[in-house]
Amino acid sequence: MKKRHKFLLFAILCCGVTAVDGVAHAQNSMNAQNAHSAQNHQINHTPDQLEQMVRQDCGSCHGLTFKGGLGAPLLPENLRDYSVADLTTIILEGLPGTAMPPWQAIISAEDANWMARYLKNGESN
Amino acid sequence: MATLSPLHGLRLALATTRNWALVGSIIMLGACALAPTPHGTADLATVIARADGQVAILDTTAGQWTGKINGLGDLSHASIVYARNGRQAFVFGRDGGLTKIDILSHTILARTMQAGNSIGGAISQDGKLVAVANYEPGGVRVFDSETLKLVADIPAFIGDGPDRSKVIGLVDAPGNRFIFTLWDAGEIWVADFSSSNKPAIKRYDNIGTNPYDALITPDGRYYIAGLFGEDGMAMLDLWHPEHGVRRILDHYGKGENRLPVYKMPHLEGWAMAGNRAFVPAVGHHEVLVIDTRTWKEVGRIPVHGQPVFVMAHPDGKHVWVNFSVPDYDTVQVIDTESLKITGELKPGKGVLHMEFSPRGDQVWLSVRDENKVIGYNPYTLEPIAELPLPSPSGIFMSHRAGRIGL
Repeated sequence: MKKRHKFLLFAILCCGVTAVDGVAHAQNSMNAQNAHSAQNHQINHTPDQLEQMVRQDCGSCHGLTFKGGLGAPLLPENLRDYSVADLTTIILEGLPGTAMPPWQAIISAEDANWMARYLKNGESN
Repeated sequence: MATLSPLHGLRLALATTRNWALVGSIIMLGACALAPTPHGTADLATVIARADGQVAILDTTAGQWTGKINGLGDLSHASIVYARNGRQAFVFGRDGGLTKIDILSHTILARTMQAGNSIGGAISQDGKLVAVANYEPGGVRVFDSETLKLVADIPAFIGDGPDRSKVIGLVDAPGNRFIFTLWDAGEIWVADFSSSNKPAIKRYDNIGTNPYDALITPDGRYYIAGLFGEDGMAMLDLWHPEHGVRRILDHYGKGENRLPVYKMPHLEGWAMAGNRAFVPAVGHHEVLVIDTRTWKEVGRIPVHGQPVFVMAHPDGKHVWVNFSVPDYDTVQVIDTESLKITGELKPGKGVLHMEFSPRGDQVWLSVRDENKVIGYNPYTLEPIAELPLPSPSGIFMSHRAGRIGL
């Protein structure tokens, strides 16, 4: 449980700095909903596993090459207006009112931060 | 002489007649026996290797790859439809690539980059037109299936435009029609190519929020779009298009908290058994059972995770279900009479797709993260073959050539 407290603190901090609409709302509504499953899956993944997840699981909506699909494109030029912290929060909390789900039940805050940096830096190209 | 083997005949010809023409023809006969024998396509399937831009051809009788076709671009979420001869196929890539391939000679016959971002397609009832659903630019483009030359361009305008919607759920329907749905606009469009290549287009608006995928029933009568943004599904009865689109299952999920949806379910492969249809629930660990006479929900089956594909075994006794991340290492088998889970498989991480052989003696699964495709006997759940392929996704049996909507 200690770990989860740390994570919640981190997520709240992220929320404080984000400029993205709707994220604060996500914080309130989604955390409670996912708390039960968060305990099972929220472990840190290796960089190889994370790269695989970003490419394949994010890619199933955003495109394997991040040029977009039903989800928005995620190339560095598309993410210019978002900080790593913004993106981390969006990954963890999702975007309410859109198809972007909160991933916090299956990845940790550190994982999300790694993914945000990966996308921001265009390491996929 | 009852039989004449080539060697026997050769010796006979040399010894007796000294007829060199006969010797020559016997040698030619022998050479012909070494040439590849003509092969039908009814036991072949195509499998997408999405990370490598490759399509592999599977011989389901031999349990082997017969060849691979490279150079097909970005195949994430790619799909395939077949020409009516079951030999040529059309590959719809994510990057807008449309490629016509020959699954016997393993060659590319034609290829065009027709858009920037695409999501599948369909072939017309008469086999002459191939349509592609595009996200960017939003709309449908229709091509001559012989040459891949553009025949019609249908921009999916939101209202009067100029903004366009992403298009999903494109299928072919009886009467040389294509039907598709606008994700951003919440509309179903019917493009009728029966009288000319300038389609008559009928728009049905206000079908619901964020339709994510659609299907047509195997008889080509009902077109049904799933809604991501709200509960229920939107249905168009093509026998009675004058009745418009009506909502079915709209009581489903009302007031219930749904789980985060990590992967959009698929509606292709409408699983029907008798008067029951089985569909994936959105955001719930359930498969919904619908009575197709009333289109009302008659049951919910709790399953292992969020269903992605729900596929009926051709004999109708069972449906198979795979799941979204993180539960995508599992496949469950549901008995359509008792509505109980009667079997479970753990083929490996990332089971993305399942396809039955037309008579149901085999089922093939793609296991993305373990880079393999596995064939099973669906009755015993014993594996019959395991074939390596990098990041496999969609599997498409060639009998789809003869099916409406596939």
